[in-house]
Amino acid sequence: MRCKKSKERIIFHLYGELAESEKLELENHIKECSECSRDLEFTKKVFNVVDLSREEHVPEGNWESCWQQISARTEGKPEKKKSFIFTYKTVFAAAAMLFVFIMGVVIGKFWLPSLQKQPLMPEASVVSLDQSLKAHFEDLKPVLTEYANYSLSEGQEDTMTIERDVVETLLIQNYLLKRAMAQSNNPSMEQLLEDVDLILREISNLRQEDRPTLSLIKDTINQREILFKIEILKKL
Amino acid sequence: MYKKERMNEETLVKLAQEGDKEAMRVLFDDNKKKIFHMAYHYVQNVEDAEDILQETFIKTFTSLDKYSYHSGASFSTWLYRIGTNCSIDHLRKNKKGKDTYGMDNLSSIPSKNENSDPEYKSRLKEARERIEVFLSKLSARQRMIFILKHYQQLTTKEIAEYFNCTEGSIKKQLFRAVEEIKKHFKDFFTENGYEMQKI
Repeated sequence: MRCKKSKERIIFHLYGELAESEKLELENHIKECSECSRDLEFTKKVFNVVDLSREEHVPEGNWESCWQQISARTEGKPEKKKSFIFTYKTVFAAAAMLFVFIMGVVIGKFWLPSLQKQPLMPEASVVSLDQSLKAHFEDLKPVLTEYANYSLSEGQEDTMTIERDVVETLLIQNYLLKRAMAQSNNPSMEQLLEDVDLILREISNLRQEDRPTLSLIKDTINQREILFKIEILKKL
Repeated sequence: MYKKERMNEETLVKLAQEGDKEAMRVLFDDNKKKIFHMAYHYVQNVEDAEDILQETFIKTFTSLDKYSYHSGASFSTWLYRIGTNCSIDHLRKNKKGKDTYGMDNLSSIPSKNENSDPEYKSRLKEARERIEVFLSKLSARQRMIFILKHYQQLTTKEIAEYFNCTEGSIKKQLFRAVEEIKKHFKDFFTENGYEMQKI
């Protein structure tokens, strides 16, 4: 085990969150490495000081006054659950379903019959999956490039221009492709989609000025060579 | 408040969803200290911790209709999640006008089981000051993760659930925070013969 990995494991060992095999690996490394052994002792001391500071006396809150405020500001709330039929969400969902139904009828009437006359190509679904993957990668590239090249220097203003809606759409797209790929025998593509899923989830949970997560996203894109793999797999 | 104190959480939540004030009060009494302590460690002053406590319960009670007991998360997990978000929002809003937080000053508060040895006291005071400086340098999210781990003693998995993100991401942030605090204590133990060496 390398010292860098050991440094990380020392922390989670002290939290009691290491698996038995990881613990054993760490213990063996520490026996042989004096620097990591010292780091373990030092981290223990720091945690001990943090524990001592935790034991400070936490004052009592003014519970009654807090409750009065809460009670006043929640007066008449929460409202009893409204009847399912009358909520805005239900009306919107019903309208959306009606729209999908009408579109289905229209497509079925004017479009599908012409397709049915054509013989079904045996590789049709594979071709369409490949095309979907290529289109998905095209959509992903600008987003991942922006995060991979994001400068993390202190004091710099947030220049990210990607909207949350775009990321969420990509997440759904990625999820559907992941499911479709699960039936094919292409582990490298499945792994890539898995990595992209992880990155997109981090991006969608990202809050402003969250530099550690931004840095994590940047590192993941670069370390796992996501953009390079996308380029390669696109060409296959 | 009669028998409601003895009711289980699920029943209390159902009653609160129907607007029962007494059930809300019992839920408040059962959880107030946990949320207040978390907020207090986070903002380090009573006034702001009380604001966070109020905000957390107002948000919880006004959105109770969105909570379902069978959604997977327990009521206290849901409440904690709202509490952590309220704390982070509170710190972000207030940080705009302040360079540092912590008006009650962590270092000046006596400990419950504090040793009476003056040398020990002065060392502990210094340690607290260093922790205070360290916490003020973290981002709002990172600070909350550190507080939840070291002061609320949650597992990495539980923290990831509150933040709705992966355990890997929480581990990475904890690792960075711990590396940072170690820098703040680099010369603290030297008089005991310890010197940190770069790995």
